[in-house]
Amino acid sequence: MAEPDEKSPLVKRRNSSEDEEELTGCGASAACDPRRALHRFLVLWLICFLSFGSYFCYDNPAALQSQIKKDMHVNTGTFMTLYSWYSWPNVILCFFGGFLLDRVFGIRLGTIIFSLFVLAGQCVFALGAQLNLFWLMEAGRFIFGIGGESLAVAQNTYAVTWFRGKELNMVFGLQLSFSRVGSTVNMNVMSPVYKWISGYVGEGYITLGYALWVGAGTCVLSLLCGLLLGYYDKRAARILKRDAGKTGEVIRITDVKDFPATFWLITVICVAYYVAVFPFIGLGLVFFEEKFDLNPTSANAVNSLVYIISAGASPVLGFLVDKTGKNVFWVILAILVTLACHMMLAFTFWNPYIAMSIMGVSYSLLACALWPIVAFIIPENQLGTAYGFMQSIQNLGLAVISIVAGSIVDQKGYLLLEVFFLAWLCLALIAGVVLYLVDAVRGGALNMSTWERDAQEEAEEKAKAAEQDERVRFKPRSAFALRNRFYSRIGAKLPDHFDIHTSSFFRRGVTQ
Amino acid sequence: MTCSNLKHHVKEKMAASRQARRLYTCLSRFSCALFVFASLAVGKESFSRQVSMHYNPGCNITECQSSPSNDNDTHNNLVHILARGSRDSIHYVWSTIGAPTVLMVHTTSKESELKVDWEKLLTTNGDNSGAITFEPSNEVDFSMAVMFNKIWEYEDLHDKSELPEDDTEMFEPYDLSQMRWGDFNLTMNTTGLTGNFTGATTQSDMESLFQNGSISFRIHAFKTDDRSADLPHLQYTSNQTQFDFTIDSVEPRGNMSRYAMELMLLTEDKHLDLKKMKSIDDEYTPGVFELFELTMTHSDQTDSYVQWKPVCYTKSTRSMAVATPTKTYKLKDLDTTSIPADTIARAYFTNLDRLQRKALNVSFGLTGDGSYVASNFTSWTASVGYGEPPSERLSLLIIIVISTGLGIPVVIIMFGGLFICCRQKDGDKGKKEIMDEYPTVNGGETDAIN
Repeated sequence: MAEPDEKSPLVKRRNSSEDEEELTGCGASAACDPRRALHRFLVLWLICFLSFGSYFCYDNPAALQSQIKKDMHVNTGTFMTLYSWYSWPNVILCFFGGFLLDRVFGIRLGTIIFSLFVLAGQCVFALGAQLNLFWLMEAGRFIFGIGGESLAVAQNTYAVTWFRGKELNMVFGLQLSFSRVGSTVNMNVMSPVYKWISGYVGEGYITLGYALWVGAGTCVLSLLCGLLLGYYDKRAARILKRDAGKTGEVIRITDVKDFPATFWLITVICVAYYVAVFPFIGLGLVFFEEKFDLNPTSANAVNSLVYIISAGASPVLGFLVDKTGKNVFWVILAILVTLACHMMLAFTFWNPYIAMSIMGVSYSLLACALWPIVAFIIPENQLGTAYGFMQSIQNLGLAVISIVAGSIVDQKGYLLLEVFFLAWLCLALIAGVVLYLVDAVRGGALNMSTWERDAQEEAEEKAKAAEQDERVRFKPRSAFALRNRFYSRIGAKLPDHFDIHTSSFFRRGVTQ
Repeated sequence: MTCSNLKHHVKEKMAASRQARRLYTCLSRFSCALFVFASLAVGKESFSRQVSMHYNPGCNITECQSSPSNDNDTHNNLVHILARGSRDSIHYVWSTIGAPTVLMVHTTSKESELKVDWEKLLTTNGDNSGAITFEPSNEVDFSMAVMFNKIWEYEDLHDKSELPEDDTEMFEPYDLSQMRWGDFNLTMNTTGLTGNFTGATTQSDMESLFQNGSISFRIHAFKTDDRSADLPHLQYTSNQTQFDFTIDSVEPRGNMSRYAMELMLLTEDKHLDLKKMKSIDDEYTPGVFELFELTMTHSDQTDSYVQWKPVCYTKSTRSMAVATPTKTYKLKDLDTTSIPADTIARAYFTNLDRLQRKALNVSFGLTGDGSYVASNFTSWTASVGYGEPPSERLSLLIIIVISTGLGIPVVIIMFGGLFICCRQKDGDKGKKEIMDEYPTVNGGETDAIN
């Protein structure tokens, strides 16, 4: 540091490079230093595994469908309530989950609480099987649902905190593929596990219970990830002084109505796009068998193509979006491509492998590009609420549209169903185009390429620093200024080169 | 906002740009054209026939009287459906005598009559040839017969839903010529033009399988042209009759029993062809994209047809949830000897050797539906008709939804693009002006303060 001269401030300005915490030991190595990329990627694993348990257990009933129906003596309709007890409450619950995350718990505590709910729900579910009480299993699914979706919201929020402005799109892609990995592992593992246990215990509800406790094991794993994440996040916040920039404002539930128009457009896209993909997959099997003359095995393969492809493609596409930016462009492109795929399925007899593969890629692209946009337009202290709200509306859309789609097929067939989905995609497209326009009017912040965004952020940082200088009421004065102030108080002559009038000009910057 | 208000509002908005208005008129013209087209399509076949149904016409011998005393005996059912047009008439004769058979005869006279020699037809120990004739005989220009001969049953152990090539891999088939048929007259509805042939087998060792069960044909003729109210919503005209074939509560002989039916076709000097038509449209029969047609053509003109969709239903209240596909197998040549002995086809066609003879199997159910055992019910619908088979076309609903659904985004994207282009030009100009007018405002002000 240079010797202070006449014109340097007497009170030292806080300098970020000076009072940083000294890290020692492991903490100083790249793996544990939150400023380094390696540490971020280790945390990314924790973020991904955070939801592994909930995705694994979510599809436990599907993987053990025949066993549950046999052991618990229920028919398909009753069996399906295991899913409705999960999904219907989540139409509102994850909105409140997100809000609580922002307002009451904070992300670290919130994550742990939701993980506990997931774990508790799965335990009750397993207990219900072990005691041969189906209602207890349903209750377990309900508790599980309270935690599950809100945990996904927490996961999104964590991703934004750690990766905003860095590899956020890729992280969202990776989360998506991890959710697929979770349910795929479950589908392939649970049945053999049941078989293996039945070798010791014999078939029956007791075995079912034991098998479900394995699911609870994965929830414990996720809870551990939640605890570790909480620790590392706190540590990173301390070291990186994340809290320094915070205003201390808390979100109120009414703040939702003040979310910007762009947020609502994104929500519209989110609902309109997802309802054209998932309810379709739910009804796709018969469509592929009948229209394209596929046998049940290949029809099933085509139907699950979107899931499989999205598991592989989404991190790659997320990386692509990270490198290029222009999120809105990618979103519109994804919608257009999906529209083309649905048209292919509706109006041609071309091999459905083509359409479904392309749809898998475009779905991954949309998922990677759409969700991170929210982080650009919503302040960080409201992100949980925003994501929760989006997810709630999406859940509602999916639940309602699945029912509507089912009755359309029953009454009017698959062509009209496809037309119905095309209409939703058109709505998504309209919302996408309007989003682009609205954003363009406001300067195109959402559709910037990555280098433009970097440049802007740099400029903003500078402007912010300047503004902060402006805001500080008591500016540290230089020795020269203090002396002059004192001189003017006592009525002494000011130095010739300090003229009050010219200095006010300086202040306005007119003479420069 | 009221509708007219809204319309007004929309119009006002549209009027904002000339281009928009042109497009609007264009669109409304297009939809007008659509309506005209649609009404033409509907109005095209306003022609219909006088249709009537008669049971055992002109029979006064004891064999064809319905009497409750001989309930264990089979009834000699013969139903005459007559569709008279202004210049021609179509006769359908449905009968369970011999084996279930439908005989279709088209005459160029509107006053042609069916003549049945009942004594000859019902003498079981002899040749019934010539017992059914149409007068005036020189006005008969076309005739054909469809016979339902056998019900196959096979054990589908590996759930492949494929009818075995070889008869020996199947259970003994139900021979429809050895059935005890109930009285059609009891179920006949001459105004609705419907009625049922219901039967149970009399084959030894197999009678017990029909304790609660039955095989039935429900026939349905029409006075108008439309689509049937029940799935699979086949189109009908007054030129045809439809039938629902049902196997109800027959005890299956295997753990994975599936059934199939053999149809036989007889026609004069015509080209017999089996066509499978694929459509993207399944709005009338959800989940079914195919239509099968067995056509009999002569010098490029279709004279008659049998039409069906490859779907059957496993419950009496039909819905998509209980639908399962049927499979249609290849047309095969048919020996005269395998034609059932007493069928009315033999009574009408005097020289079977000169006829086109074909046979066809249709099997019910597909892999994964649990086979017949799962529901103990299978019902399948087909129609037999004269002339061109009714063809499927996209409904107005679909056309309107598609054109508006896809039209709106195209319009929006066009205008959006236009808007962006204009705005970018303006924006560039504006930016330059601003840059010229104002110099940078902030400078080294902190220096000045300090």
